[in-house]
Amino acid sequence: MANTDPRFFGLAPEFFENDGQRLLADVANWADLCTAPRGTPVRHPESGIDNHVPDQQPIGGDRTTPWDNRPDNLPMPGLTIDHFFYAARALSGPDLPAFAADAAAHRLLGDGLVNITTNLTHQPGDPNDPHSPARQSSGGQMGLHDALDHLFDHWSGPAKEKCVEYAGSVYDFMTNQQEIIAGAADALLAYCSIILGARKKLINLMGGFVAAMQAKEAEDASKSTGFPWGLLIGVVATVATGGFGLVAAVGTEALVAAVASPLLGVAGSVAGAVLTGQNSITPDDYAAAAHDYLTKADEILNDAREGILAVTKSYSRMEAAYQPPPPPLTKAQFDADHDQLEPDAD
Amino acid sequence: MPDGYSVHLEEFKQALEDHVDKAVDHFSEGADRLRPLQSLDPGALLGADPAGLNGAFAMRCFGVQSLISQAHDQLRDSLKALSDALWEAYRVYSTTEQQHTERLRSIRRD
Repeated sequence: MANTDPRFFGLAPEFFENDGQRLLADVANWADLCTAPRGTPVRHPESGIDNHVPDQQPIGGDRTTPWDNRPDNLPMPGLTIDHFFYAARALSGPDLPAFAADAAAHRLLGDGLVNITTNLTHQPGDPNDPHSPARQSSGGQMGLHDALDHLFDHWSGPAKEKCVEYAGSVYDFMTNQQEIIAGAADALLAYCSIILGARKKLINLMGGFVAAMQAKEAEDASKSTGFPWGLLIGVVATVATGGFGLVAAVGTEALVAAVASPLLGVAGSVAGAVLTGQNSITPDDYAAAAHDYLTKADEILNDAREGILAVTKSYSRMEAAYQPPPPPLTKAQFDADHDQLEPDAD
Repeated sequence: MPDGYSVHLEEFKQALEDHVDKAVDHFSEGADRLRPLQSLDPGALLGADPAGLNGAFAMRCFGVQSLISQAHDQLRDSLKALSDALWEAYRVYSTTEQQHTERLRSIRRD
């Protein structure tokens, strides 16, 4: 459903799914009840809210003055309706579909990871068989590795050693890159999962808040509306213990399958998995319920902050683990050594 | 390996053509595919950030993505330099072999 209410411009699409606009309007209306100055009309019949009861005491003629029927602890001091949407706005900035686009970083990293893994999982050729498949294959990492390993067969000298050493360094670089690229792709997935999970939790919290206010309004104090309440930090634990599949994927087929999975689909599954556990807003009192809602919205934001911080720190680990590619072997090195190049004595 | 001298040089050349040069092409292509990472700043996707959640993430994410891409550019440059050096070595060794052969012929003639 398209958002047509200027109060909700800029909120992420998730907030408008499944009749979300109605939920947002209810939150805004109940927030209005909690924050409007005393004596101000708060009339939202669509949400069952009307704070004005005509006073039976006439003020001259047949005029009556409106009487604010809200409890004495309303309005809540220092709060506006905007405070009830602060967390939603704070979580709405990231354009998650853009993170999942074909030309986006996650896709490029995934494709690069498949390429590297395909290269690394090619079996090296049989050194005694010049016709072995890997020795015949062209362009791959193992073909290069094999070729450099055997380039100087039956020759001796530093050039041979350097070639073998270089081949080993390229292999080490590739395995290091495999780990770092998988980590970077998983970090993006973790970030999207955290944002998506936090948005979903907040939507559930909004539902709990509205239900609590409605329950109070219906004077049904025994109704306590539960809503899912899990710690987003679970997402971070998933990253820390091996990622979402890219870091852990060993075989090329598993990796291709993991990379082919839509980013937001996987992020949605992860986000859904953290929506566990129960908590509730107890509708003892309008102000208490609103306070509870605002506190828990802050907790969602703080959980998201902690999760994003952990993802951010994971980049430091990648940087620390980074190994550069080998420096090139130069013509000068070979020129310097070529006098030592002699056939082996055997 | 009595007369393996020239045979191995031929294998050497074949290995350069079949594997080293093709590896340069292969990894150049890989580096090309990753290069857009250097311009994909996640900060551009983050929008308004009133709670300051995303700034550090965007910076570090972009840093690592750029590092990955630059590393593959460096690998391509390194492989290219290796290929150049090996081809140069092949030319030098071919000359050396030719000189050996000439010397042997000269000895036999004498």
